[in-house]
Amino acid sequence: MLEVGPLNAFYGDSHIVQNVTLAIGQSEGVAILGRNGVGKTTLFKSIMGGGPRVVGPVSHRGENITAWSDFRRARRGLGFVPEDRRIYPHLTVAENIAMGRHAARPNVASYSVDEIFMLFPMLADLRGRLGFELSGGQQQLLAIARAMFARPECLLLDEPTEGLAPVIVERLVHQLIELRRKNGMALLVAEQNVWFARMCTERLYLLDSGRVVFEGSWAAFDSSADLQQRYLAV
Amino acid sequence: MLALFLGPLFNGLFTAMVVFLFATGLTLVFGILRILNFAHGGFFMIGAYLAFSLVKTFASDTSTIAYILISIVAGIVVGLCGLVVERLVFRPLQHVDEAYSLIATYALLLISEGAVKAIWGVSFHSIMTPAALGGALIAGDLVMPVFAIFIIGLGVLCYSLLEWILQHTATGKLMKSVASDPWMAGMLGVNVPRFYAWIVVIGFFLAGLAGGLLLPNQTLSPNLASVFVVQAFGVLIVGGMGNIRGTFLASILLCVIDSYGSVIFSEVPGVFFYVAMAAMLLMRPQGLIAGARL
Repeated sequence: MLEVGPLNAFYGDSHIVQNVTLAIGQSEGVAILGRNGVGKTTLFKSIMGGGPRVVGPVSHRGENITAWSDFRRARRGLGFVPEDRRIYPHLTVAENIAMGRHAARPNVASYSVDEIFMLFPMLADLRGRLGFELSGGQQQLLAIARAMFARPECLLLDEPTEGLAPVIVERLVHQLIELRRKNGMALLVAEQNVWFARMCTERLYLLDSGRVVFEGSWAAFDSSADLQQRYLAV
Repeated sequence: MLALFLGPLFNGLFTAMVVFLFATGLTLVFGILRILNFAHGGFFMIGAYLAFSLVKTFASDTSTIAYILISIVAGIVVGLCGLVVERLVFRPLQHVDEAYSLIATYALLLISEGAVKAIWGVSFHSIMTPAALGGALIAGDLVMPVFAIFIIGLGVLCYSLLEWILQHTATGKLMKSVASDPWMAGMLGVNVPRFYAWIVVIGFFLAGLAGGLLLPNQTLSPNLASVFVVQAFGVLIVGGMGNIRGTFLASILLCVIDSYGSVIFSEVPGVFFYVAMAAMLLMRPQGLIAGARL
């Protein structure tokens, strides 16, 4: 459904993402694992058309969208939750969710704000709260809810567990599994938290210094004992 | 007695609303696109000249309605100029250093002045105030020209309308959202470039409209472009860099202080605008309304 690469991405002269090739099928869950600074965020922004200079193809359902501007990619069904969440501080929770309406696709009915509140009951109680009054966990949930509004075909989550308490992370896992089951939505998640990534995806790519150093199923990942030690241990 | 104490207040409010009407479009464009448009005064002037030509052609007796309609037409024409300017000048500038946009909009100011000289010549023109807005109200020894009262009302109306749109409508909230985080807006599917084009058109419309509305009070000459620019930049900065409410409050504060200052120290008129501006920047360098865009 989404094919990327071989893709190279640059900020100025820095060659951040180097010859990365990845593909994600319909309704599939895929994790991008790697330490801080290996290029996970840059890779996501390259897929969304949101910043870096990109050389190499990105195609969606067989159509090359490399030259497309960011908003058109969003309207094609790519929902993005950036690492820093970027909740609008002056908007209420309900208004933040409704910002997702701009990514509505021609033949796919978006959720209503009330339906989103049924999917994310925790947010329903905060409906009138302003963005800046939320905790980190609430902001993360809101950012996901906002990206879900237009029923994306593929949700891209950049480091969703960063800065969240373990109990919140656990709740988030169940939420994502539930969303995928209900929507048949594909999920691409960049993480350092191996447990979390394993819980909500079927296979993974391991990144180091901008390159893919491993790709395969979680079982294959587990059988190469040194991978985790070499590329993820702090 | 009234004239002594309230006269400067009235005059200050009048000047404040003139400056505010001039600065709204400037504030809107700066608040959302972060482009400081030096050419704003040029397009204000083009609006005034257009209104002048329309008055001469269609409305020799200048009723109030004709004057307002003509100002709106001038605003629409200047707004269309904004569409061209956005495509040819502002859009390419989005991705380069801010210094380039200063140079480019300054060049645009020179071009608009040149265009005015080429079309309307360099001689001075003026029009009569519409009959219904002539004359003055008198309270005790305080004389208040009706036109000044009209402009004060117009300024307050314009501010209230913009403030209502920004705080209470979906469009206004979207404007604030795009202003505060355009990148995320794009990620969420907002067509940010087209949104910017609309803002520039509205900003230029407001410049042209102000040109028409303030025409009865001005002498038309190719210098008109720079008459309000310094005050407008002053209120923009003191207001908090691109904040409509801040610009409105700063206009009132600086112009009223200047008005009293010019009465008390009559040998140095006009200096107190800058004194007050410097003092405000020392006390609140972040501006009156800091942090919030629009």
